[in-house]
Amino acid sequence: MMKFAVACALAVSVAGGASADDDDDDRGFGLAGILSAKNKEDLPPITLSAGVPLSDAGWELKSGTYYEFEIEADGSQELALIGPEFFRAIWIDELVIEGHDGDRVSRDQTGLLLHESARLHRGDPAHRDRHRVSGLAVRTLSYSYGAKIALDDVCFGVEPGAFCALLGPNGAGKSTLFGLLTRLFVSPQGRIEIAGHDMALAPRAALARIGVVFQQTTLDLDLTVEQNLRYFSALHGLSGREANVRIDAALDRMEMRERRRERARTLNGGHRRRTEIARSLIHKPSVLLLDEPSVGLDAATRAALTRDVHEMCADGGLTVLWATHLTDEVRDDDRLLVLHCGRLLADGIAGDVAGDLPLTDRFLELTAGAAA
Amino acid sequence: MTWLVAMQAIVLREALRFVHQRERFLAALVRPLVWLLVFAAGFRAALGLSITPPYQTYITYEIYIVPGLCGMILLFNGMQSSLSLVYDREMGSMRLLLTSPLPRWWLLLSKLLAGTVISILQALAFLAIAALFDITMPREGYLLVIPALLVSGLMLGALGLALSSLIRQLENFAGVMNFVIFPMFFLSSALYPLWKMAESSTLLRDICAVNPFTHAVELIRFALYGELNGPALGWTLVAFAVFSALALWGYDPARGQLSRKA
Repeated sequence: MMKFAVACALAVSVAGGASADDDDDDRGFGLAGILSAKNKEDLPPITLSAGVPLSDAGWELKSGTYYEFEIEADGSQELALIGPEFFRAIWIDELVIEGHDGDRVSRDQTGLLLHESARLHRGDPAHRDRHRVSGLAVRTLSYSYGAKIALDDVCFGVEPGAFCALLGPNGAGKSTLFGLLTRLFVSPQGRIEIAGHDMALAPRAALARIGVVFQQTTLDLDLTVEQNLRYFSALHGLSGREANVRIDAALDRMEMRERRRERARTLNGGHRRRTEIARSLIHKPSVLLLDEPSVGLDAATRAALTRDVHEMCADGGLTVLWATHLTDEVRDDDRLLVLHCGRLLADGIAGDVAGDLPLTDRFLELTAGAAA
Repeated sequence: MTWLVAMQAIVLREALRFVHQRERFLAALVRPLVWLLVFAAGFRAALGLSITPPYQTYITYEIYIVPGLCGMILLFNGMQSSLSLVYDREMGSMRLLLTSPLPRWWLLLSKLLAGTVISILQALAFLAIAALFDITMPREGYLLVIPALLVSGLMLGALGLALSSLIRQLENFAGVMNFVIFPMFFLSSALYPLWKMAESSTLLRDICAVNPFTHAVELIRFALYGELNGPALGWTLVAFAVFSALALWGYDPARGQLSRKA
């Protein structure tokens, strides 16, 4: 399965231009942080983009599973950490960039993200900014029901504004993953971060940033579309005018406004789903989780729904995790995770994962190969 | 403020659902009315009742059984609203509720309160219909019974909530009827006073005396006559605390009880 691995890179670009309070050496900058991996063997060879092996660049292997590093560079405009399998094996706990004040940290290509707004900090380590990852990040997540392992060491990240398809056959562990992501239950192993909020340490902050569309419908069929949305707004502490404005906006976005007074029971499957998606957007989440949202819908409705959610991603900066077992809902430029028997078999851009095969064939090959 | 907005919405949702499901309302009323108008009428000849507090005069059996039937409404509703979470399609809406960024105990309490408010409305409707049949209580009793119904309803709802999270086998309502509702209802002072029970078996009387449902019924009985039954209130509150703790334990995400329902 490794052959589908995507070479990932963490690129830290530092633009030139010193700010006023810079002192002596304004051309030099450094990079420091902690990378961790579950096993020592997982630590991939990583090089600086300039071609300097990290072992020569101040990396120190700490306690077998951690890299604690500090890199000094000078004059270079760009510094990148590059390694195959980089993301799958490595997690950036902390990344501190010292250098020109106010410079911008670019996003990496692994799904791990540094805040766009992160300010580069220089000087006293005690005042270093801690740049949290945002979007959605899952690290070494495992879960078992008694002896049955449902999720086995799952690691992935989704950058903000990305549409990430989670493809897996029935029983792959998708529902367990969603249970954990929505904190229906928690796992003793692993970590989940939603927009930088750790689900274990700050569950309420993390939950406030998620919108969820569950596989089974969770509308009150006896209530109208609007009543359903108003109930949900209140669960997120929104009431009065604020709730009205948000409800209008969400309904407009899903083209459901003219049906607001209809009972949910009278809606068809596609409109029910649209209502649920509209509902999940009311509190302006950063991450939208959809658990097989297209189940039971006809082909045309399915295509329209898939298209609309892709569009929301593209123009709203919304991070989407879309679980499905249908490969035709995945576009070539989507991020794609293939989950099977609790393990991630592939993680990359869908087109790359598929390679020269149609995605459906690749998917079958992957899942058949893992089962054998 | 956010907390209250959420609680209000949870209660309002339950009320709206209730209004829309008239059959549910009628079904909930028919059950105690059948007991009152059919069972009690036949039974009054068989059972002689002496004067015991809070009654100050001889009473008919219909009068005696009214608080027990109020308790029955609370019991059925408590079990139904909580257990519907498990075996109806309600688990989805529970999951939605639990993704709200509020403490889980607050969400569960709100859910409990919502169910109880509906139960109280049903019990009051039952009392009104009973009054039409000339089965009346002191006037102030109709007001004073509300807090008693609230405490009892919360206690029984908490029991249902605890069961819904902890017990896997109770996946259909018949099981709950057999193993929870019937024993609780029959082994209580709802249908016969405890001293009457003691005449046939002191063991049964003792079981009834520790049954929290007995105390809920007695709390309601005394409240209907404008009296406060302190020990019954104490027992009911203790049972509420215990059942709530169990429910919180069952719904604790780290306990993993809910993972089976994912």
